[in-house]
Amino acid sequence: MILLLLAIALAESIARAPTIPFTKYELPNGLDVTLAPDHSVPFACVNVWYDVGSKDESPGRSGFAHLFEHLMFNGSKHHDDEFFKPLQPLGARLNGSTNLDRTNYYECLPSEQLPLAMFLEADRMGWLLPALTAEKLQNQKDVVRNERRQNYDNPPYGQAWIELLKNSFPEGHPYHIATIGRHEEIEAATLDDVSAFFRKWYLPNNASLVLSGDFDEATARQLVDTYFAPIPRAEQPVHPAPSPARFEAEKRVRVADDVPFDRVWMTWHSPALFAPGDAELDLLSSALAEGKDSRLYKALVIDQQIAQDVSARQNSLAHQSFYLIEATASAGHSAEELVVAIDKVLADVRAQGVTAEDLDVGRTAYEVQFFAQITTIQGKADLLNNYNTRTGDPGYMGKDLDRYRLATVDGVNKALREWLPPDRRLVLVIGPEAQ
Amino acid sequence: MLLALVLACAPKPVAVVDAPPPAPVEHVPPAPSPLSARPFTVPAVAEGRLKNGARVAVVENHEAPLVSVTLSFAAGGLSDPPGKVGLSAATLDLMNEGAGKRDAVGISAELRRIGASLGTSSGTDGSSLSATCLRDKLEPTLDLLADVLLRPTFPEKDWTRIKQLWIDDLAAARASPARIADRVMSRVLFGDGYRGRRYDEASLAKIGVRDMKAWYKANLSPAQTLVLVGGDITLAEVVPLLDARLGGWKTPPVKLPSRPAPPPLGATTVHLVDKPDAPQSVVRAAAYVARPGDPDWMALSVANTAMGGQFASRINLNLREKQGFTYGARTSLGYDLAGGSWGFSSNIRTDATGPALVELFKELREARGERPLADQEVDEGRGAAVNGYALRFETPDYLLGQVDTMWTYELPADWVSGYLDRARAVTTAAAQAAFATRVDPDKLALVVVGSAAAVRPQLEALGLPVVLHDVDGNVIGER
Repeated sequence: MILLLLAIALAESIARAPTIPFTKYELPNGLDVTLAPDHSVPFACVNVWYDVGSKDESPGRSGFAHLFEHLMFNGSKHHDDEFFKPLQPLGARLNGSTNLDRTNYYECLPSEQLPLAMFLEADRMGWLLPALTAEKLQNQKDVVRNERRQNYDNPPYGQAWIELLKNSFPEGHPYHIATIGRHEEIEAATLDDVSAFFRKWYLPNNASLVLSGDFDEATARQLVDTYFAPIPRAEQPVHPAPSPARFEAEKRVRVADDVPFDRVWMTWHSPALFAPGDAELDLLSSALAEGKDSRLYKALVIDQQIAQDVSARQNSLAHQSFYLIEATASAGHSAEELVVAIDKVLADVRAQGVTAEDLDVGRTAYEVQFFAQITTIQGKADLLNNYNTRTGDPGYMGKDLDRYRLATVDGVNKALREWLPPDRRLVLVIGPEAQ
Repeated sequence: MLLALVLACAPKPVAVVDAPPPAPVEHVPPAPSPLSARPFTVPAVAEGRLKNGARVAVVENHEAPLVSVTLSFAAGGLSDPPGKVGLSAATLDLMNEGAGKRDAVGISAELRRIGASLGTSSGTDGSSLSATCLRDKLEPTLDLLADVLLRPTFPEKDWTRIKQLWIDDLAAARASPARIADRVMSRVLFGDGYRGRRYDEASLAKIGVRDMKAWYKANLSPAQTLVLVGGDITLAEVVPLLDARLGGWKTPPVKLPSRPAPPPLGATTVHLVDKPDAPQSVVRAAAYVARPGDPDWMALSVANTAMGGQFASRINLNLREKQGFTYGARTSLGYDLAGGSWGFSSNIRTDATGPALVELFKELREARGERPLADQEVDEGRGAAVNGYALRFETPDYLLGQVDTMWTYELPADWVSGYLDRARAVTTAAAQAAFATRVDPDKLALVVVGSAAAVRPQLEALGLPVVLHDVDGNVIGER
């Protein structure tokens, strides 16, 4: 009877598992193509990931991968005009983004306009350079430097991400400099840099195309062949292969800024995305800092009232991740107090371990998150492309979910003890000038 | 046609050994032409009432086993008594800190156990309580929601804690250029009335849990509650579940405060807040232009899209893509209880702040005179509205949000159902006239948060009056 009930429970859990039906194939030029039809609204998304991020930049050219992404919106050979112009009147939603590991581009538009999106996306994949001018480059340098001012230089604590990476990964490591780059290096970029970067990285054999939404597969395949198949492949680019960064001791850094409170960030190097320990650290984050009953939140914000907020997360990256705990001091309290309180909680969890209930809570939260992401065609496309770019399998979601389902209390406790040692880490504080 | 092209472009599978290498042929991609359009109908809103009179609206979506439930209340910050600004927000916040037999930590633990989330929010024009959960955890989630709505305990010790978090947040707001700009704009537009009223340390000090219990009893009533439900559920399924839990809630209707009048604006003035050494200026402009139910609203909206509502619009293409002054510049239409407003927002490099405003005013003036909106610009603005409409209905959130908006701002019954017809009917002349008559560059409130030493001379060179404010929007100097 119990067995039967278990079987039913398992069947129900599988029946409601989030899934994305898809077909994948590869063009002769090496482009990965994944088709995921979904007819819930008459819209389709074209979503391209290039396996290049700021980690792949040349020395002295920080910020370049992102600057390049901007130039992808200023015209290509057969459409030498703003990329947005023909798409906006069709009701399209479009954008692009760059991070340490990858660059992506997408347009979601009424499904009957799929041919236009395919034409434009393919044209900039194959024929960007003929439309490039010195004037466009200079304009986008200005724009990107304004983006840096807006998101990093002007807001309080805006330098945090830059300082975190700078102090967590040594000089020369691909993750040492934040994707936005340094002003003087953005300004130094030349037209030759753009050509070389395009020829090296913007190749069909270094890209993954996902179509999601309202289309029929035969038509989609024809459009892919028409627009993407003629793009020539080139030599497979090689990513830098840094030796893993490692803290040999605790490193403390304090940065003075025009801010009202101390804010502290602790980082530890941790397993790469999808590597053993990655999901376990996600589950640990849930127990540490999701919700008022989580250990860090309850201790720092509710019981001791020395912090305004606290968060913990595994920052999953392709080469090597880092685990991050962040907290802001309440008025009258200091970063030093926060560090002591956080360390006390971590010591307690190291000693006593997380519980089976902690794990159930974390698993359920991830399941809900997966369901939420696949309710939009853009969410589906990004998920499929993330899986394909990082694992070569757009259908990795089942395995991804299994990492959480099959994680054990021992595994999470082991990850905590192995990856978050108290004596090898960064403690970064951004706070007001000393009185 | 497509198939023939595919064959022509397909790579040769086998190389012919003796043939000379083919001359490079320039690739010319075929011009794309649209496929046949697919039909779209706006999803239905199923409407009903609870036994206690509260209105219920359900938008079904069975793509994922998730359900969201929001109770939208008509009462918000506008109902705060004089001297106790922040009371409604504090009340809503505290409802979630202790309810039924659970304290704040207990509520959170139970929510996480079932994978649900629950939160309260409040604004000047209303407040809400919402929850999201897996379909098979709807009943325990509604049990918690009912506790929070009907049995909040307003614990004194939690208010002490939350109050300090709010006071800390005030300090954070005063240090953030973007938040300073928004706060000062509200003061500039409304003085100490309506959205110019903001809680501060003094008003929070006067608020106690006894005030919250009184506000709660006096202002939340099923007659002024709209229940919005979305996701993997039907009206017939959800009403009995809600009735079983909320049926006993029978607070009589309350008298809501009267709507604030849109403020008359004098001649365009720059309200400057000094942020020494800032690398950028946060710039905002605003004016009340039309009520959202106004017959010109859709024409104004289409005109705004062409002027600054999207990336490829006159103002962004000029300030960003031509001049490189900013990462982006946008204009938008919004609404609140006072009416509908037009606004401009951008972060502009410090040394370009004056020149950027010159360009902004040039664009606004030219659109009223020598360079009126062209047919193509209006076609494109109309197209963006009409063609992009379907994507908004991919999840229930947008449609439920519109139902809520219609209720809160008393919009016409065809606000959603007539949207596409109204958008399609906008002519170039109507868009041009709406913009030219409503958005007057000589009657705008302008807020600039940046380095006064660097920016003030640039602003004065524009010939505009400059008023200096502190970070809370108090006037500290005039010239």
